[in-house]
Amino acid sequence: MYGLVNKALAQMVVSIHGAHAWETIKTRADVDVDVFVSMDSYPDEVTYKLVGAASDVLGDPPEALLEAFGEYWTLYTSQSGYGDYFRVGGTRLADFLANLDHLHARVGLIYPSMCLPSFTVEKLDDDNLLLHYRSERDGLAPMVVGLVKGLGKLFKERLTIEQVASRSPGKPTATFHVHLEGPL
Amino acid sequence: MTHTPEPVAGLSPRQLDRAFPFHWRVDADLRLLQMGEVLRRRFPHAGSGTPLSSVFRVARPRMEKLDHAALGATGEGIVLVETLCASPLRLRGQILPCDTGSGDLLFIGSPWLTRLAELESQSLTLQDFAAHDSIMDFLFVHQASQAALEDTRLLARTLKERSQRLDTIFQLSPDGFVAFDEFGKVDYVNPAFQHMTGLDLGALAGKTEAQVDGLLGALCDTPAAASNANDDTARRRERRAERRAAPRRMLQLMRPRRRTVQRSLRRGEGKAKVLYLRDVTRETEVDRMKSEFLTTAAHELRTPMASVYGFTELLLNRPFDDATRKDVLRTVHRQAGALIHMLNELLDLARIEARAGKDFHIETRALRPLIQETLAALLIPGDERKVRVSLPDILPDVNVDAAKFRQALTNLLSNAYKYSPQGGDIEIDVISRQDGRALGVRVSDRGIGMTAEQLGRAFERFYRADASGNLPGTGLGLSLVKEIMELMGGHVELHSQPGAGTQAILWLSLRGVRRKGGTPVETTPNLMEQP
Repeated sequence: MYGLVNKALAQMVVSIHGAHAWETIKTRADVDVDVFVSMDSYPDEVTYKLVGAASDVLGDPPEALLEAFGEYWTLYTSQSGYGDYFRVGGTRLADFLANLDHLHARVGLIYPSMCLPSFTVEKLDDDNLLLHYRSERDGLAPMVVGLVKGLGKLFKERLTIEQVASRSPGKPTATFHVHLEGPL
Repeated sequence: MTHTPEPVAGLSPRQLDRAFPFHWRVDADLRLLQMGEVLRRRFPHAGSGTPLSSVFRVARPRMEKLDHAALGATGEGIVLVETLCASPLRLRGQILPCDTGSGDLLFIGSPWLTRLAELESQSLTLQDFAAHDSIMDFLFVHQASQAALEDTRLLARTLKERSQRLDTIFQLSPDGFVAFDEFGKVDYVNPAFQHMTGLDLGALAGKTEAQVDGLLGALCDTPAAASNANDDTARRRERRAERRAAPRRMLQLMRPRRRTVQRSLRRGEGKAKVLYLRDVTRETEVDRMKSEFLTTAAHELRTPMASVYGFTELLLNRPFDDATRKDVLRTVHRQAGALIHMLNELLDLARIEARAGKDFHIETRALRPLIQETLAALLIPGDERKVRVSLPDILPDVNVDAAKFRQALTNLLSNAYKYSPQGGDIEIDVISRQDGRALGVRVSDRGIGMTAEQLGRAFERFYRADASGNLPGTGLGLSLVKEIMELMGGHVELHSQPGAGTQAILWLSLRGVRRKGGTPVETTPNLMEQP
């Protein structure tokens, strides 16, 4: 996982629970890194350990924590020098989601070791779409819910999202139903 | 009138549009024949036949006026054109003559942007770019390098803060630190190390660990701690192995001051390491004193206990007449009494030390009654001598814990009696320091006195000036007096000559002493003065 992810997780914990909580989480996770370098690659295990320790320390279930993190991630990255990536992807949420794979394809060319998820959009009608999510990593579907909610805030669109299909052996894709309710 | 453009490289206008969304094509009169779809969106009114000069200007190569020949002559060179609108868009590309014999010129290029943020100001999105166009990749790389730069700055800031914090800690630390760089050479020495060893960065810069140990060894006098800088290789290897096995070791420095220091070493990356010196002189001394005290205490307690044990065993196993039995029991009683006295004094000493004066009730008291009460309570069995008291008419008040002061004075008087067994006067008088800030209660005897060596050890616990054992005592009395006086802000002073007697003075500070009305005490003029 790229350092940016861990950095955002740190920022989220610090902004809500303070620097001491983050230090406690790092100690519990046995992660001895002071500053995560955004574009440096860290083992996925580091992120999983940090999320697990954060769940223990803060008392939130991992799923709730991942969803909160997904939402925070969108807002954090859009405000910390990566906002332009979002704007490049489109001016509306549906366009952005549809372009996400193109965006990831470009980013993946630059950072070949970046293991990016794939998103495809199946448009049901003007207000409803199915978002198909595929990743080599396990257990991050709750984060997708948070990410899309965060994108809704970023693009100022009201929405609801619900996971309608989970990944399972032989079925690597999770599906989410996104209902667009109009501008915020 | 413009003509319908021929396909370029077999591409239909629609295919050309998708492949090059920022292209344009003009005829020999420099009138637009077609434009890429992004440009069409930007200039919806610029249709076929619109003069190129009303939509674009050429920024590079420099051209005063758009001219077909000049444009056609740009050949393989880079051309930079700029849209003529409120928010100009720069396009970087090249102009190619079409192979149709019509004089048409084709511009193929893409936006020249240096920051991802410019896309938004130009209302461009990812979809506006052809898949083969690498300008987006360039922008992503640029954005990532900016993020990396920002991270580098953050790391540098964090490192600087940490370095400053560490520097402050090292500067203020009472422990000595020497840091070795990645090549194993000294590059930092903190003030405490310099203070302990007298070796500063000037003397140590560039030295290796072995060389620093050599310099430290030279500050020790024992051969074991001496420099190993000149040892043969085998011995050096041996020492290195020893150091690894015992990362902490003690050094007895003789210079610049005698100190016991603990040396440890922590290794970092490569050859970087930190050598750490901790001054343990006091702890070592305290440990030594504790062991010595325990040994002496056990020995002193054993002597009367052995006597009690031996005599009671005699009484149990052998028949004695009444007189002898009584005599033996008297000895047992006396030795048991000595034991109790010694244990009481030990407990007193321990309690006073542990409480560090917290249970002292310091109050302003008149000195005369304190001295008189002590004398009245003094009972020396079998000694009829009286203490000669010469006190001035006026005596200042003193700040004391009355009970503790009486205990200290009683101990001095008791010593005066014990150590003048041949008789001789015992006197008490009061003297004042020349500056009037302290008052001394002096007890003088004309007894056996002490040598300079005995005087130097008089305050040691269990030390007895009388080695014969004929004089009763525990060897703890003067230690108690010393503790009591120091906790009351004063001190005890001894003067003695062998065969001439001893003077013991309890000095009490007069600083801050107030009469009941709150007036500071003035120096009493008719007291003897001491410098």
